[in-house]
Amino acid sequence: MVLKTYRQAINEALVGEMRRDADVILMGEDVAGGAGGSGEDDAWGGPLGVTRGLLSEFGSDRVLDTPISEAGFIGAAIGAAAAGLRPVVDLMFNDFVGVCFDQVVNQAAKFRYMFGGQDQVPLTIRTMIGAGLNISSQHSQSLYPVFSYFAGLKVLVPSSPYDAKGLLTSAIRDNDPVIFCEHKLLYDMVEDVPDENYSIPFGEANLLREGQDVTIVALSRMVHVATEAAAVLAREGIEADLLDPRTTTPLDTESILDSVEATGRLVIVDEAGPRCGMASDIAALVAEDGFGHLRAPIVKVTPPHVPIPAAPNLEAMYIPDVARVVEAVRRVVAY
Amino acid sequence: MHVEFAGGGVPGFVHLYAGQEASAAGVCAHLTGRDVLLNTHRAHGPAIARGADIFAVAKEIYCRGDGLCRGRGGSAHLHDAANGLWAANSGVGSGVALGCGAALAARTKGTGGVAVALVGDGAVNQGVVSEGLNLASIWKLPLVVVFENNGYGEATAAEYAIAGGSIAHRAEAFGMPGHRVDGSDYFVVSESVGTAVSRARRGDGPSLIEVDVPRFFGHFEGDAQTYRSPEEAERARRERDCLVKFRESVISDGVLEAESLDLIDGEVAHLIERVYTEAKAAPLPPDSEFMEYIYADSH
Amino acid sequence: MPKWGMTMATGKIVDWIATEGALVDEGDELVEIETEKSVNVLETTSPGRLVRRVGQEGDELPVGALLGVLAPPGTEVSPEQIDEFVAEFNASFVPEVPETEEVKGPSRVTVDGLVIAHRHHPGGGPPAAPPLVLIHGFGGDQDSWQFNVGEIARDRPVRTVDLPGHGQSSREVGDGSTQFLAGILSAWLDEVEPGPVHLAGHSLGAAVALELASAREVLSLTLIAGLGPGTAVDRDYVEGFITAQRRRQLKPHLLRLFADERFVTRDMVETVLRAKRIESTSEALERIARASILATETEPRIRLASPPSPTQVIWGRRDQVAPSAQAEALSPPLTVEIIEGAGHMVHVETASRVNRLLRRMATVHD
Repeated sequence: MVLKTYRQAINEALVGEMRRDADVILMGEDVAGGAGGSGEDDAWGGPLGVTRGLLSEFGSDRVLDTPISEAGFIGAAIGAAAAGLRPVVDLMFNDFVGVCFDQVVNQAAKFRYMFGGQDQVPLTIRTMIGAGLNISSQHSQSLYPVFSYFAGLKVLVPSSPYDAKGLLTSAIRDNDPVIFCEHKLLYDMVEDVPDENYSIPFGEANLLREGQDVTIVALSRMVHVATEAAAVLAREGIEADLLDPRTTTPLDTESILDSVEATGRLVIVDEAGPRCGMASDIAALVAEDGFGHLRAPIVKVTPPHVPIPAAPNLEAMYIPDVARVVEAVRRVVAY
Repeated sequence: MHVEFAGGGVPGFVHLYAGQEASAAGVCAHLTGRDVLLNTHRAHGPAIARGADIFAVAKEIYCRGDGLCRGRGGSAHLHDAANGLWAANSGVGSGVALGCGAALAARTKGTGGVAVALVGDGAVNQGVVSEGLNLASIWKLPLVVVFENNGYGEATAAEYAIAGGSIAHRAEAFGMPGHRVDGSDYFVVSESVGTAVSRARRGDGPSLIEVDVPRFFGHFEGDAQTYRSPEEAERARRERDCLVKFRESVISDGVLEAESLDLIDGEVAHLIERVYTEAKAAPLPPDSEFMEYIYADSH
Repeated sequence: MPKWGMTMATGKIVDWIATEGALVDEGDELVEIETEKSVNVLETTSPGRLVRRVGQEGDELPVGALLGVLAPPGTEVSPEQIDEFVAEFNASFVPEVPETEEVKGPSRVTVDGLVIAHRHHPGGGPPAAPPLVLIHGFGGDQDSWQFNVGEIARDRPVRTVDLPGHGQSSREVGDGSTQFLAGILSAWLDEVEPGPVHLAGHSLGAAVALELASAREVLSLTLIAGLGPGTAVDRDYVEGFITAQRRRQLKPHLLRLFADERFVTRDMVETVLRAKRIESTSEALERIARASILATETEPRIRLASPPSPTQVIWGRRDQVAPSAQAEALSPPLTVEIIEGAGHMVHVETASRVNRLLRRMATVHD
């Protein structure tokens, strides 16, 4: 096993699957970079270099740079998937989903259902989520709750290099449309990642930590904020179960409920916003199905309901931090 | 269908294809099992022309359990994967982008297939249409986009909505051939489509065809069509009925005889009667299958 | 403080089980120790009186540090003598630095086209002493020997290996038979340790060790919770282990491996899950199960009536996966040790006693 970055892990999953299955193709803006230009081909490998090297190995029939036209090329990816390919298409920033929302939620999500199961759409949409780079509201959102609303989609939010490679491998092999959300601040995170291909099943939360005093559920980059908070809390004698759902559709509600049954207290840490987000969704599920086990109100640690600012101090106020998680846990424990 | 719908009993919206038959027939004459035809919500004619089982089509219009889409889609979403017929999706014009995908898959897998996307005049200004035309052109995809211009995007005239006055001329901007043909003449439609499909199969890239067709009924059944003068609709029926023109043409050219055509008309009338009887008697989808067909892989 | 685990630098005393002044017998529990990765109990390796508890509950001490002082049975020692002993020990005690080689992952070598992951623990004993080679069991990996390696390596070098289909070795397992697996390990030993060796195998590893011993010079053989093909094994466990893909499905099976539930930590479950997720693992395990574990064969007792090397058998009395009755039924020349209170993973649960048995067996047959 070797230490690899989140970026490398994703690249490895793509290489592994493209070698394994000739139907896997890559599409998106600048996934290679340099198309039609006077300089190098494979100039970028994506805006953050994740797909570098793929054009050289697999050629331009399988690595296709697209013009800026998400409705067009996401629609094309859906059509190609329904017609027998396994496209991995890049929606560079999930904030751009607005310009191809119809394709994602009305076509990809419903193609199988509306036509009575005649087809499948084995499509993977890779997209970047998350705040923390001072690039403002339209490049920093985490929209996985919006995607999770739509039956017919599967939504993944890997929080680590190991999870990223295993989940992306599963996504490409899965026969349904999958949205793979890569947090932009995690690309340089390092972890031991096997060289071999491996798949992580969907709907399987990762239990990062065991403790009997409180259940903390955290998503994507917030997993690391919660991990730090749990260490601080342990020094105060508060031990937490820490669960990372890894996939918001399907959601591993069973593991969450099992944990709350044991601890009686739930804090959810989600960068995706206080209204209609995953924290609200999970809180409602547990309030309904786990009510009898709760010994304190469920507390959500999310950003406030405001667009994301660019200024570093304001953005820092937006993103949930260790102190807020610790405070929330202390509150439910003291209740 | 117009009569049945008026009598009640047909669920949802119904958009009749009547008047546009030569378009679907002219297109499907050039399609094989390797190809994909992308439909609009005005789907009945294309479904029949593409070879879908008409009983299944009718049952789907009535949302029955063994309709083409197991009652999940209804009249506006006639999809027959086995026959290479893809139903419309919500946003009109999306077929152009989906069609790019089907064309890309055909080329990548070397099947020799082409994709033909039917699009209404009402959709031509939708952004995804331009995006799809652009993509098809830069990638030289085996795609033919057929705009069925029936003069109205819902209740708004094409003349009003389409800047530049012509759909066919827009093709030039995308670097592909564009032609406008009289959709009441089956033969010119077929010829134009044939050229475009051959070009696509050769690997020379996409084409755009604008087919001028009359729309005999409203945008949807129940549409009072107050935006349209009654004389206009009547004149269309008198002067631009493609079935009448076809009949006259083949008889005068000695290709077919009146008796043969009458025989076909008789058979079809019988068939239609049986189709409606069976469709109306068929059961709705079973409640127990409510949650089926959402995902291909469950977890 | 014992060395349990490659990366272990310190351990914390959780609970002194034996009271100061008490007489303890060989194998009695002395003190419960917690490391970063696990909790286990240190047992005495010789009888005596616990005359002083040096480390206190809550103390975190380096590997090798003085925990307590035992006096030989029947002797009287004064507090001053104990003080002197402690002072002398601490004066010359230098905390062990964990071998840097062990902090990294295992080494890899290609054998007959298969990548084999393995570790060499030179230890502190004479480098020329015949090494002990440890072979893990079905679904496990070489790290399951973490409570054994450090202690045994005091006498001699220790080698561990991941079987094909397991850990970080190739998932290619041929026909899944013990012959195939032993063939690969034999080729591996030809590469890294061609001379005479001692072998110890657990469960499936015992079957492989037996097969190896009939083909090369093996000075002694220890079979732990396994007797080779024909060993009575719970099919449900084997099949359930193979098919489990999720934590919730897997954990109940892992719990059956131990008499003490506390050994099934979150980390342990995660390690097994990650190994199982590697492509082709299920197929490999399936093949091995069919060819080497679930196939019925001649009675092991018959084969073991004339073992290829001096052989001892170790089993946990509370083994839920491979019932201990089959070990109880064995007779000389085999020596059989059934350890009370231990489950299938007897070398983990009662590591001290198993270590003593392994060390003694090797020393006697060097």
